[in-house]
Amino acid sequence: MVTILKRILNTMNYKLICLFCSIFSSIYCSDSSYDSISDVYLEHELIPNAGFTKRSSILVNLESRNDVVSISTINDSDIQLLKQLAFKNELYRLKVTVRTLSGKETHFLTFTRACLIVGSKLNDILTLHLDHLDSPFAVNLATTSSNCNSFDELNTNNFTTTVFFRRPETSPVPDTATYIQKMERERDAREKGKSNNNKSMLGKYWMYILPLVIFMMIAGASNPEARHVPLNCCIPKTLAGCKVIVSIASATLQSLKINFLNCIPSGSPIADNASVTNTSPSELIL
Amino acid sequence: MVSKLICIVLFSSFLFTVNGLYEDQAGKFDWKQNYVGEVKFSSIDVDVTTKRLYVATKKNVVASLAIDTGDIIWRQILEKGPEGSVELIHPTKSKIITVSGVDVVKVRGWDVKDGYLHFEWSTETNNVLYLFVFNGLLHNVYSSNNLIAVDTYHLETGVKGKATYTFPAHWFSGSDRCALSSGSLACFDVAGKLNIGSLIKSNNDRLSLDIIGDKIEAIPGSPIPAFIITNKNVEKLVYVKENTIHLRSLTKRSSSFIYTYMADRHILLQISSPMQDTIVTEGSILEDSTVIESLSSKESKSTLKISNPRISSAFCGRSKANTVNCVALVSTHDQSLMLLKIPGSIKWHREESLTNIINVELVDLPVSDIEAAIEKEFGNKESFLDHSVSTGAFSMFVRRLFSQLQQLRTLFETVLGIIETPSKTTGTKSNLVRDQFGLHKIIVAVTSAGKIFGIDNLNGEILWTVLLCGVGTFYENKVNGLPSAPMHLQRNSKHLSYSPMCTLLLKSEDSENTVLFTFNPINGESKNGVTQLPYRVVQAVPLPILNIESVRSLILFDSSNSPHLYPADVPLSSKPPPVYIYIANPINGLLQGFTVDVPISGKEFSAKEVWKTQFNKPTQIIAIGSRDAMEHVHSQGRVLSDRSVLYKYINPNMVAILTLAPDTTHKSVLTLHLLDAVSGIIIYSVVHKRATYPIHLVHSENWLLCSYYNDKTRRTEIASYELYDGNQLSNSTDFSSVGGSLIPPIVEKQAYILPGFLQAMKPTITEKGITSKHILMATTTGHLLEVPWAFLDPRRPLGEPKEEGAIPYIPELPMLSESMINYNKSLMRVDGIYTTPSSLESTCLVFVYGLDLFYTRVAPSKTFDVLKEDFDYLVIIIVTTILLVSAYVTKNLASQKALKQAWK
Repeated sequence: MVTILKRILNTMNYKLICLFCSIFSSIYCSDSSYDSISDVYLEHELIPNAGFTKRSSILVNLESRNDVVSISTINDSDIQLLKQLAFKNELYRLKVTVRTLSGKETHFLTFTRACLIVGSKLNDILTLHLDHLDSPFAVNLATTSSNCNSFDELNTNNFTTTVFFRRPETSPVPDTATYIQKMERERDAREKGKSNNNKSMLGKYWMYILPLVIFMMIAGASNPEARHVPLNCCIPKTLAGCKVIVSIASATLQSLKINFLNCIPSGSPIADNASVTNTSPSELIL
Repeated sequence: MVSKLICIVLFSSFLFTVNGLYEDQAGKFDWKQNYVGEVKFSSIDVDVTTKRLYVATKKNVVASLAIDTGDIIWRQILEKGPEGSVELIHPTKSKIITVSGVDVVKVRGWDVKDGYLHFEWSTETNNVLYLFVFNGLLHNVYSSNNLIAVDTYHLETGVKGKATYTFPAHWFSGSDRCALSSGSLACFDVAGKLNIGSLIKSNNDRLSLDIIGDKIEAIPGSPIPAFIITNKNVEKLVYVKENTIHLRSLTKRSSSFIYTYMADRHILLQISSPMQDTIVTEGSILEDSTVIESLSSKESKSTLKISNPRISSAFCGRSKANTVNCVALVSTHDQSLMLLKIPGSIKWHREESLTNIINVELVDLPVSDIEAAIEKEFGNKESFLDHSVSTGAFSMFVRRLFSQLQQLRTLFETVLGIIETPSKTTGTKSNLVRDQFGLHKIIVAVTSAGKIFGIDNLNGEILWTVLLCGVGTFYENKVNGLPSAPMHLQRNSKHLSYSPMCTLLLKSEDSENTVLFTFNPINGESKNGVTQLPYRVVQAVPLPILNIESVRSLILFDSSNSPHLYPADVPLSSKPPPVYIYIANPINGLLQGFTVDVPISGKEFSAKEVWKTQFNKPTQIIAIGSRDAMEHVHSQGRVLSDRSVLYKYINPNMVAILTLAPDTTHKSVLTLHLLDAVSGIIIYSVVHKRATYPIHLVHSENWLLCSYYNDKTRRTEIASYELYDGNQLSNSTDFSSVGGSLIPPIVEKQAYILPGFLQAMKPTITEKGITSKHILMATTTGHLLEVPWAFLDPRRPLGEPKEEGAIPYIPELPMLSESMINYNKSLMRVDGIYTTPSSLESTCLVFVYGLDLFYTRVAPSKTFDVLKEDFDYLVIIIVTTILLVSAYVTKNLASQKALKQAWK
């Protein structure tokens, strides 16, 4: 009884899958109702400026979404012509006609050096570039090797053509989501860090601040005029943060706080930093 | 973590300070010129307290100019495009009222003193034929249901008037056979009769006149209905006075203007320009054709270059000597604006066509005579090519003596003050010599009005102008409808025996064929510079080889794809390598590549088509971005945090192609293709969905920036792409596009949000490419931002940094006030930015054009190769002297001590 039920369920499941399949395929079909590529017709030029002769025709099915490998034979006289072309270091031009199911034809032209075709033993690669609607806009010819010297080793009459399809990539979008996540993570980490390590800036970095303060006190006491020096930095000229820091070094303790308030240009990114350092010396005075 | 943050903040703060400008440096390296555009309507206010001119221009600008100097007192910029086009201005005692817009008519009142907006109202209108103001009422003439209807609105409040007058529509025979002047409509009927009727009252009385004519034009700004009727180049003036039609024949081809002199007397002013540098005026009483002697004048000025002057507005009065005097605001076909005093002279002159620059080039100045002599003497073998000097021992000795004598003479003259030092004289020829750092150049600007300007880049002074009327017009870019003027610098100023040479490709005035205009960019002179070609050029490419006259020949590709060489009959200095040329048809999306093998004689050669790419309809090619030909890439790779090198993909033949296609689901799809222009290989393509105008493309080194408006998120986004070869350099020996590497480059991509709208974007460029790159962005708010490329780097890390010094990724680009290099000088309606290197590696020269012209120089990595302005020379001299002296003294002391020690 149970097994029968299971079977029924199974068949239902299959049916469901099948139904889903059919819906999917119908969607797929409607999606691919555009004019799909049916075949690629190749013509090449073996005598410079003498016109194109037929090379082969390759059947293409875009739905299979696979690269196509096609082998076609050319006759011996054409091979000789190709060798001559390679020997004279001429260009091998290939005229590509892409046909669609509805019979629409688009012509493309591509080329490479003839010696490369011979050097790669008639192995070539055709790249069909498709736009966002899957219709072709360019065809590029390349060879498998970049050997341009050995023409005499050619012992085959068969062109081995691999057809690749390339579709455009999608554009990048400003990654706001990840950035916000990152900011949240950092904020969390900071909050966690605060609860663990509740020492103030002063507590953590007193060993650096103390010598600096002593140095400044000595400098300030030995040179009373230096008190006025930091005020110079209040001129809007000082955009550079380094000048502010220099001014701290030569300032006395009393003038330190005032300097910070006056010097930092409002809205400049140094303000965050300055406010951090600002707290420590004032605490020290207290 | 905190220290890291501090580091980042500190680092970024240093980054920004690079762009800062000290207060006292404002205006030192930069200048800005404000313009208003080609004048459409104007009015003269001769009130002694104000003395101003009010103009409305084709650039949708309403402005007030000082009558004495022509300086802009205030300027208001209306909406861009047809929404803001000014259709009418009406001056009142305290306000200037403008009527602008096409489908929605906006009426605005501006304060005459400062240009503040007093009021604004708008109304929707359809099928507007004419707009005019009469008696404080705005009359809107439109066609509806086989009727010509006139609606009235109170000009200041927008309250609709009581009556709508209607007239039968058959009366109106089309806007090319009708004209409206001073509230009266004049139309030719089918029988060739001229009917004139007033649209102010609803009566159907019409005056008619038997006259044959093929063109009718209203006299602008006329107080009485007055029309010019042209019949086979014979002009006649028709005017209505006291309800009767008067006819007056005009003798000369000139532009007319009517001014109410006394209640029943009108002055007819006529202006013409028989030559480019002359203005002829004539004045007469309209009613009885009495010539007013004092208004007849002929004004000639050699620096003046104008065509077809037209009086835009005028004011006449009686002088103390009881003669009639006039001031007239004259606008010309070449879009210059001047104030003419009749009798008298041109009071001032403004070149408003500079608002319509379509192509710009900064050209190096030639070296001074003395330097040229030195150059001739010590110049290396290659530059001897064009010096044609013998290298015999005796002749070299003579030349040396001569040049030293010359140097000595100039030295004496400078010391004795016989001649002024070149830096003090401005605008003279002696000043136009190259300086040490290559900072002094000449800006050659081609404007759509058909005028070429030579502008000094240091002070913005116009050095020369050339009018192209009679030479040719411009081809039109089919995608955006703008005129295009390709310009090629065929010979630069480095060749001493030859003058520099610049060639402009123009369209013939009476056919589709091309005209080449060759001129000297330093002084604008052109000797037999006009070449009529029997074909249409579709592409012009400079050859990599100079010809024997040191001219970089151009390969001109005609519409039947056959190549020609220009200059044609001069052989080349050596055999050039095969040249690959591509042509693009923006409308049908066809791209073709050709190879051309130019023989050394430069004669008889043909092109062979090697690749063809066809974009599907209705895809349009909207932009092609190629790298600047002058650009050098200094570093071949980037060092990563693990000390390995990521090599850049540097393909000199790569161009970026932007295509835009309408789409049913995504509205419009913008695709960026990277194409190798030699082999026709598509290196990479990427699709941006729902991207629309404004679109800007920047291509430099191994990276690209593409800015567009994202219709989905409703903001400007900048997509950044960077190409890398990987850990190995693929084309290490020499680069070849044909049969090169099959492996596509690694493309890094990232997008950024720009909080604003872009008008133009351009990267900085320096001579050797060592200095880091910054991007100059002109925003619609009038700022010129200098953004370091490091901010747009697609490798900005979201997590742990991949390389040292990388700034963490933040989606929004910062727009800091410190990085606005035009500080408080807002730049409105920017059309383009031009950057060019100076001889200083650190410095890049920037010229921004649009409604305003702005020139400055930027140093993206600070001026590392020049001493600061406030460098203390005295201290360094004192220190070195002390050191030298002390070294000398201690040396003696040491030797004495050594001697003493030896004796011991």
